Amino acid sequence: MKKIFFYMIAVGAGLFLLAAINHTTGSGFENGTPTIQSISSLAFGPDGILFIGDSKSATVFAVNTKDNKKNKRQALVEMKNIDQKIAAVLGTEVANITITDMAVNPVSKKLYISVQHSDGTPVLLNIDGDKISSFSLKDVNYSSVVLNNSPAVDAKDQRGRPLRVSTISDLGYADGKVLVSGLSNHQFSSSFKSIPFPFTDKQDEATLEIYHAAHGRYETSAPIKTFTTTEINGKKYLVASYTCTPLVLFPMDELKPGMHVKGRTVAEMGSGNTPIDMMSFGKGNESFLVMANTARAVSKVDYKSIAAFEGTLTEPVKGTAGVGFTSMPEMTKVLQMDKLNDTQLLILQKKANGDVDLWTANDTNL
Amino acid sequence: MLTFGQPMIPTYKSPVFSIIRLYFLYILIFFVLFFPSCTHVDTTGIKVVWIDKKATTISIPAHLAKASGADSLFPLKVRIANNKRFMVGDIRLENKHILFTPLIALTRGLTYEVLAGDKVIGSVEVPLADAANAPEVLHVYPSADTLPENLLKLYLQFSKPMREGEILHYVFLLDKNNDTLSNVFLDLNPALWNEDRTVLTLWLDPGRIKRDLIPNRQMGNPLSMGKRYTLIIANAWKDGEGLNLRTSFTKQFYVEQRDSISPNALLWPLKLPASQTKQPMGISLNEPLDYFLLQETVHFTDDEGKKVAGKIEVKNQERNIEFIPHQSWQKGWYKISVEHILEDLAGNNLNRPFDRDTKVRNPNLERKVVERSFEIR
Repeated sequence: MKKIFFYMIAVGAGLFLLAAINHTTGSGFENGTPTIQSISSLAFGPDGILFIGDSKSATVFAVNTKDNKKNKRQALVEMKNIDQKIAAVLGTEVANITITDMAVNPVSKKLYISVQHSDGTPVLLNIDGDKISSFSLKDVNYSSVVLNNSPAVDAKDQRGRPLRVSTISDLGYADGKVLVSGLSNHQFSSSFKSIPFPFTDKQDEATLEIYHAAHGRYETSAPIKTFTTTEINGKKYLVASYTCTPLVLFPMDELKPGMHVKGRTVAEMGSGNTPIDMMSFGKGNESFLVMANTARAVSKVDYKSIAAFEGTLTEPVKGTAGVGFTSMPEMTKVLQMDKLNDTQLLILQKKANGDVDLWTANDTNL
Repeated sequence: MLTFGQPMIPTYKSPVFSIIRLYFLYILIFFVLFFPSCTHVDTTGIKVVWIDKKATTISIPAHLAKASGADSLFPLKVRIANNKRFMVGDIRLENKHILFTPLIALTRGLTYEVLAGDKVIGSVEVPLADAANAPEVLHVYPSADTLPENLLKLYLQFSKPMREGEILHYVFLLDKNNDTLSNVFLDLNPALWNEDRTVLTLWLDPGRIKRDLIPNRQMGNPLSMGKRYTLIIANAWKDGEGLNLRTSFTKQFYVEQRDSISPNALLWPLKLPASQTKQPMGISLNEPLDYFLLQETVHFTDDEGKKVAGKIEVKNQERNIEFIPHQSWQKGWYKISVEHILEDLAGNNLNRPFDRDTKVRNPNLERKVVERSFEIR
C-alpha cells in the first residue's frame, strides 16, 4: 500500500513537472505564439534570448531562440544584393520591403534580420552562408513586457482609431537590464526605459526624462535615436545619439526612475543627418564608438578622447563640435550594423550602384 | 476549376485512332509545357487565395504534382517567374490541393511559377489592384496657411494604408522660385507611421531648429520668416496595394515669426454650455495647436472627480476644440485637465518652450497637468 502511495506521488510529481516544462520555463516565460505586430529592433541577451522591440504593440518580447550552441567558427559573412535575395525569398520586390534591424547571436554567431513588408507584416529571417531561412515565431518559448501604460492608451481620434503611437528607436541589453529608447509620433520628447530582465509581473521600470544641452545655454528634451553602453575610466555610461545627432553621455548610475537626467553633449556629428546605429568596437588595445548615419559615412570616436573630455563634461561644449571623430569615407550609406565579435562588425550597406550588400568589416576597414 | 482537356474517350485500337491519340497527346503536352510559360492566363488550375483583400496563398491542384512525376506532393517549390531563388513559406495538403503560403502576401502584378523539381508545372499572376481604389491625401496638418518659422512637424493623412519606406522620395518643399529645398525633413528610418499607415509624422530637421546647435548655426532654420513655400506630395507614392496616389498634393503656406512661447491653458476663453443639454463646450486655444495631441490630452471631470465621457472635435484650423459630452451637462462645477505634453506647432509644450534657455528660470518643469474649473449653471 505504502509502495503504491509512493508510486502515485512520483507519478503526480512527474506529471506536474511535465506540465511545468510544457507551459513555462520559469521567469514569466511561456510556450505559445507571441502576437508580434512589428519588429522595429532586435538585440540579443543572455543564452540565445532574442529581444524583439515591437513598436506597434509597444511591447518588448524576449524569445528563447534555443540557438545556443557555441560557434567558434568565425566565418566571414557576405551576401551581395541581400535586399533582392530577401525580396525573392519573400516573393516580392525590393521596393516592398524594409530591413528594420539585424542582430548577431553572440553565442552561435548566427545572423537574425528583421524585415517589414510594405503592408506592415513583420518577418524574422536567418542568414547562413547563402541561405535565407525563416525564423518561425510560432510556438516559441517567450515572455513579454508592455512598454506604454500611459493614460492615453485608450484615446481615439475622430475616426475612432487609436492615437497612441510610438516607435521603439533602439533596444539594448546590459547588466541584466533591457534598455529601450522610444520616439513618439506626436511629442518631440525623450522616452527611455530600463527594465530588469527576466521580466516580472511587478515592473521596476525607470522612465526617464532626458535633456541635452547645446553649449550650456539651451536645453531640449529630444528623442534618442540610437544608443549603446560603455565604460569610461571605470564608470558605466549610456552613450546616446539624438535625432539631431549630438552625441550625449549619461552616467548609468544616474538613470533612476522618475529622474530628470541631464546628459552632456560631447560631440555634434553634423547637419542633415540622423544616426542609425552605434556600438563599441575594439582595435588592438583601443576601443571606439562606431556610428552609422543616414547622410554621412560611418563615424568613429575614440573612447580615449571621450575619457579625456571627461574633465570638461560638466562644462558647455564651446563653439566646436566637442570630441573629434573620424569619418570613414568608404563606409557611406551603412543601413545597419552589428558586432560579429570584438574585432569584426557586420555591415549592411547600400553601395554607390544601388546594391545593398552584407559584408564583414574588420581591423583593416575600421 | 480548370482541367486539362476533356475526359478521355475510350481507347480504340485502329491505327487512325492511334494517330489521333498521338496528336491529342502532343496538344496536351503543348498546353502543359508551353501555354503556362507564355501567358498569364492560368490553365492549370493554380489559383490565388484571397483573405481580407490580400493574396495570401497559392493553391495548386494535387494532380498537377502527380502528373509531373514527383515522388511526393511536397517537393513542389514556388518562385517569382524567372527568379533563381525559391520562396520560403508553409506548404500543406488540403482537399486535394497543395496550399503554399509565403511569409508575406503575394505582390500584385507579379507572376509566380510552381515547380516540381526543375520543371515549371504552372504559373499564376496576381492581378494589379483596381486603379479606381487609388489612395488620396486627405489632409495635411497643420491646416493653417500661415505657419511659424520654427514649425516642427507635419502630419500627412491618407485615405488608405500607404507603402512604408523611402518617404523622402515623395515629399518636397519648394521655395517661391520652385527650387526644391534640401535637408529640410528628418530622414527617420523607420518613419513615424500610425498603426494602419494612414498618418505619417514628418519632422522638420530639429538640429536646424534648435538654437545654437551646429546645424542651426551653419544652415539656419529650415523655414525663413516672410517667405512663401509649397509642400508637394508626389503622386508616385504608392499605397500598400501598389497603387499610386490619385493626384499629387500641394499646400502653399506663408511663414511668420518664430514662436517660442508655451501655450497657456489658463488663458483659453471658454464657451460654456447650458445645463441639461449636450451642447458642446467650446475652447478657444488662442493659437493653432497640435491636431493629434489635442484629441488625447484634454480631459474633463465632474465635481466628484469622475471622468466625463465625450468626444473632442478639433475645429477652425486647430485653433478651437469642442467637447461634446455623451450625457447632458448637470448644474455644478467641472474641471478641465490638460496634460503638459500638449504642444503648439513649434513643439513648445505647456511646461516649456521647445528649446529652453537655461538662464531663464522655469517653475513649471515638473507639472503633469494644467487644471482649471468651470461652472455649468
